[in-house]
Amino acid sequence: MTSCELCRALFNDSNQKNLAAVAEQQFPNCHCEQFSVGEGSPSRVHDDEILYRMLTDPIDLDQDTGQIAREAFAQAYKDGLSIVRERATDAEMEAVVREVLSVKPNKERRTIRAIFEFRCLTIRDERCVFQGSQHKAFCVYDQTVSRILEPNEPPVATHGTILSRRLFEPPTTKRQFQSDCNDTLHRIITARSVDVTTFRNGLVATLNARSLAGEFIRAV
Amino acid sequence: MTSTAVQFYEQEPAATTGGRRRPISAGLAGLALLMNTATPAIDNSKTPTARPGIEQNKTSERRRRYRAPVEHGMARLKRFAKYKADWDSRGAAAPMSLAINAALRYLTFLQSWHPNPLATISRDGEAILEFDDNDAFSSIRFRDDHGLIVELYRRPKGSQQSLYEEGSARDASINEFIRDQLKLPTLPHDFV
Repeated sequence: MTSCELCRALFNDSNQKNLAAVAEQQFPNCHCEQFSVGEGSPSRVHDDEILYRMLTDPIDLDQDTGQIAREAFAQAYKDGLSIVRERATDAEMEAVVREVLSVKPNKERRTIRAIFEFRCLTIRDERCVFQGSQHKAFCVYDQTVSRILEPNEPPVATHGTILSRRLFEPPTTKRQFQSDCNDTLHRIITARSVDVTTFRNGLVATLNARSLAGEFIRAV
Repeated sequence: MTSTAVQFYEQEPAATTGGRRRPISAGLAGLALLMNTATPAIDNSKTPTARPGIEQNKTSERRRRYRAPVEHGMARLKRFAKYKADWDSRGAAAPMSLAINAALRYLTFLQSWHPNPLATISRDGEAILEFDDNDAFSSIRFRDDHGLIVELYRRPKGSQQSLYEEGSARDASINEFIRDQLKLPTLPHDFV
């Protein structure tokens, strides 16, 4: 298998756990960024692309005070922080948001509570010090994910993921590093928020209403 | 402010005399004495029917205002404490009750000069208090790992360097870090 095929195999393995750690171990230094890795993806994520991060859970933000929790970015050093690419058509955006809003039966219904936009390069440009020199701290991939609500449909093509490279050494501990990672992503990603009600001419607001009406409840 | 004072004085006669008439046979000497004496001072805060004074009102309002973020944080944690495992339909753990209770208690130690806390939980069930002031970001994380473990973190704004400490709530190093680095209230001996 070529390097590209190996990258695609890793990023399309839906059973893969701790993707950030595995990706850094198998393909260090964001090696797979040079390829398009997602099934059905139109291209790798380019540096100048605008990306969106959406928050749904009340634990991640306080809508009364406008505070965003650092902990909201914890997935970046685990299985990856989901993002949507600006190039997504409205139909693709709707498909991603429907997945994000999907819940199991009898669970609290979800809504998109905040949307942030940022340029891919701001993530890729972030550096960390490791073994005495500067290194890239995060990788951005065009990873697509299987649909839960419509499992027979192909993955949404314009989904992506941010992975932390998990570069740290003593005396920094894993937990300290994770907090550093959360704080850095919080600074970059929350710098510019987008109005949920007007985003894509009210597309997300409409989907929020449909979610509250119970439209995105999974079959199992 | 003025209307409060007026209300107070209007009420005073009724409150002090009960609306009863004084007997005419009180005696001229007594009457003369009363006419030449200043109105006796009444400590209105101690009378059972008195309303709170202006200063008292201001103090309670001030207290209410600075306690509001703390109470808001407590309300958030109490709401999250009811979450069951897989509350997010994506495999999140149920909140750890020991951690939630510790965070709830810690919130009560905060004073008006401390930064407003953002109270939350992690998807692993830990309780987290985040503090964002102008100079740095700090957090206190509580988790149940065969007993209460406290994680402390501080990172100055614009810096790649952070400070971190972790241990049992009884460890002296934990309180030293809270006091010296986070500048937040320390944990009492009976915290665990």
